[in-house]
Amino acid sequence: MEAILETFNLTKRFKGLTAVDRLDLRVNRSEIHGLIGPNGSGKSTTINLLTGFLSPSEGEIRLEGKNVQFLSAHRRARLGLVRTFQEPSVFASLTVEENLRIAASHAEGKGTAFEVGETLALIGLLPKKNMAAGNLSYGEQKLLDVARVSLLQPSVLLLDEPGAGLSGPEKEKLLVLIKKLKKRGCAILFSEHDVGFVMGVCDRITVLNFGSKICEGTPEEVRRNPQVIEAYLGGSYEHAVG
Amino acid sequence: MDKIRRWFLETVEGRTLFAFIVLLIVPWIVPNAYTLNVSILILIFLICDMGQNIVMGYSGQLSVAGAALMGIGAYTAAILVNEGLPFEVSVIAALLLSSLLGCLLGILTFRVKTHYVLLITIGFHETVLVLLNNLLDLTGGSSGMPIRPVKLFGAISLSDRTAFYYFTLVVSLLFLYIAFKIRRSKLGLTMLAIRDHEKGALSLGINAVKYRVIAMTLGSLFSGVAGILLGFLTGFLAPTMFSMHKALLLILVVVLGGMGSNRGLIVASVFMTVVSQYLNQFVEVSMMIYGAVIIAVLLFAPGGIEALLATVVLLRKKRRMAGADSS
Repeated sequence: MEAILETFNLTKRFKGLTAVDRLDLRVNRSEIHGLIGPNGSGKSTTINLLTGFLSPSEGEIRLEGKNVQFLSAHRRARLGLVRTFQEPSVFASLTVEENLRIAASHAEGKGTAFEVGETLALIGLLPKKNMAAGNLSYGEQKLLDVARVSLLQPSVLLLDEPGAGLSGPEKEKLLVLIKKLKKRGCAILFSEHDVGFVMGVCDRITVLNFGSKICEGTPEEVRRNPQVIEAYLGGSYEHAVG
Repeated sequence: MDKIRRWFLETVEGRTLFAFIVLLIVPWIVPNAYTLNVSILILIFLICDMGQNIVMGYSGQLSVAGAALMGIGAYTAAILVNEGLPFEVSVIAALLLSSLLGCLLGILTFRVKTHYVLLITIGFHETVLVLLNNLLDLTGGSSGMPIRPVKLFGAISLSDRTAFYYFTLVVSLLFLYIAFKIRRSKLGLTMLAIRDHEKGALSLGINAVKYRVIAMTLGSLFSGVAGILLGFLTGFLAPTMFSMHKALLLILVVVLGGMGSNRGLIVASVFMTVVSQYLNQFVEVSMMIYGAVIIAVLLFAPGGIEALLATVVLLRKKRRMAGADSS
């Protein structure tokens, strides 16, 4: 498999704390990659480092073989390395449709403008397209975030806990969006608390603990890894998954 | 007859045409020269309020540089005209200078936000005023400087109030059009997006710094235009015309109109120009009143006039629908 996003020795230190410790991460082309770990294990920091919202203390980040760690956040986004945030980041005073149109209009030359309506229908917000995005529910806002970045036709999409705060049907729509992106050849890296969700969706999973990678592999391999069970699943696999 | 009346009052085209006709006949229907003067001031302040709205309302930068930039425009044009340059050349040079300074100010503030932008622009404002007060040979200092009467295109004398009114009307309608156009364009939407959620905008590949600098530059252009018109209207410039008082009024109008809204801004701008003409008699208390209004609006009607207008439109729509149901 060809790697699209790789890190080597990626490290981030905040004063005394090492939030991400010599991380070697590898995301392959058009795979769905889960990033899991207990609270404070460095998932969000990793996503911030990858997308340029934090700069690493050490290490390298490569997008399609090119070093990107010195590029600013918006330039990485232009290169196809796109993200969403844990909290909704919709443009609250703009309408739902304008939120999508902005993304389409900044994805120059990618011919995505016609997809705005289609995407609206996909996330079920077509009836609310003229509503101010700030008036949507929490889950709808998070869906709109993912829909918005999907219009940029990214090559790697990083989602920071996209499922948190979503209802069951909303999670279904999120899955449809994610799978549609994968079909187009986009790789997806997402951090998540809901272990069941991750196990069901991901092609491969990386497990973090205290900023270091403790395991990487298919859901099946991760499930059986004793270190993961020890550190993350809290000693008993049956208890955690069941 | 009733049909014509309704077309004028109830369709967008009709209302626009109606407003346009009223604006055209203003010089004939005003009772005296003073009222015509106030009408011209309304049009002039509409332009700088629009500029402040682009900087503060669209792109969310709390800048008080508006008045100083008006001063830069006004003084530059006046000095060049007094040196004997043609009116048009002086105006273009003055607009270039005020836009350029706005652009530099935008670049200077690119790393900071909200109250830090405020601090930097306060510094800019004070610097400009100190220069205007002390470059005696150039600006005449605090005692001010008269401006030579000018002719537009070498033919139309701008000392004639009616001619000045029409000149200002054309200019302000042009800039009004630009402001509305920007609001609906990709440029305006992007500025609003950055104001609403900067990180969200960055994650879409939007260069937030670039758009903030564009907003500052555009806003300064509007300020410069208003400053120039104000100078040639009064035929005399003094630093007090561009005091912090004026800068705060610009902010007040944008807050009162409802940050970023154009129709709310027009109502607020006209209202404030008229009110400030009357409050001019009580300079000492006027600032207290403005301060109280800002606090009251932020506390009780944070959406400003725009929110009020939206509520009225919604109520009327509801009533019309209720009426349609019952009939």
